[in-house]
Amino acid sequence: MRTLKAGAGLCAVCFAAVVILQILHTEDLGERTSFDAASRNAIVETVPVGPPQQLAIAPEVTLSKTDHSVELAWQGQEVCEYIVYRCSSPRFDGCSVAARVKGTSWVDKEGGFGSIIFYRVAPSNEEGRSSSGDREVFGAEPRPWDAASGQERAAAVEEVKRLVGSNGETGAMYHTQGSALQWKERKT
Amino acid sequence: MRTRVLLAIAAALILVVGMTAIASNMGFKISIPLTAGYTNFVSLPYYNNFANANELYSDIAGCTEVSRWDNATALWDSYIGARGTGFTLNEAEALTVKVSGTIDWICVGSHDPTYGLTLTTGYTNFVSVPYHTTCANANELYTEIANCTEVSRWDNGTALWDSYIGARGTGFTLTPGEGLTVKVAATNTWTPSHY
Repeated sequence: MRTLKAGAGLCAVCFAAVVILQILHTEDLGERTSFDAASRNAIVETVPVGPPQQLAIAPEVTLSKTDHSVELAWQGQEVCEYIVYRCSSPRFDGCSVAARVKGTSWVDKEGGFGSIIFYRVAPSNEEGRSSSGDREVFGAEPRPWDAASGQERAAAVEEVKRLVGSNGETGAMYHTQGSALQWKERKT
Repeated sequence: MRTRVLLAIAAALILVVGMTAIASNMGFKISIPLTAGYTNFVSLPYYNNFANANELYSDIAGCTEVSRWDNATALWDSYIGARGTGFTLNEAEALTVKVSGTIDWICVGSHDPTYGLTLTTGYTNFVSVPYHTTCANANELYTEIANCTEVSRWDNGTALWDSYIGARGTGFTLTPGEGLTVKVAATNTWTPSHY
């Protein structure tokens, strides 16, 4: 019985964490997104199951000029790894990872990319990208910030998480806004 | 068995929470062309490194004037570098800049996705549209802003306002870094869409 109560308590804590994350996420969007059947059915992320990750929250990035370079700084932990994305398009289509950084700042010493360059920073957790040689290149796969851009993508990415286990089993789960997490599918 | 199921669900929840990664607001490095002899309408990133007109003036090589339109007085508030710090820069407010020599000015900053811009009826609202707006042209911006009656840009080529009033067509193309003016039929708060 004690174990049962402990399990239930743990569930409550986890559910609260999910709700808090969802609220934080929605605030980042600046608006609440709608949730429809189409987005619920979308499978949008593939993430490997590995060691426990830290709780990853959107870092707020600020930029400043330093000589002929640009310094990016963000909120976060110095011991954690972050990925800096750099692109000539705000959609970040087909762009490479600019840097993997341990810490909370990075200096872009490169010029180029025409009249405007867009930057994003995300906690490193191996998701939303594929490898091509030494460079990690975005293709058709969704990117981590898809959840924070566009109402439809926001709804889809926020609600669905696909999991791939180390022994090959796959599954996906979603949580509707304001309700508990539910299994969507599971295949072994 | 029931306990095991509960623990399994709890473990899965921890996994999902732990792997939730949300990316930051978007950052920008932009080269804004400033032409000598003209009034250049510029839009700055919502988060930038300039607190007042003097700081912006000092960052732009050959700058001779930084101005904002003051709706309260219906006058231009201009800083020409003589002394003091000039006016305080407001988030999402478009400014005008004059320079002694044509340059491409490098500006950096990032977006504030939570910012809601108040658009006041009866006034010409000078606005900075985010560089990563989802709107491609005047029509899309006009449609996005509630009660919008006019979206305009200053055309230095013709020395005329290029205005879109929603009649037909798509109007002018939006250019990152270019300040615009917006008129509305009813005061409202606009949170710009963006990628």
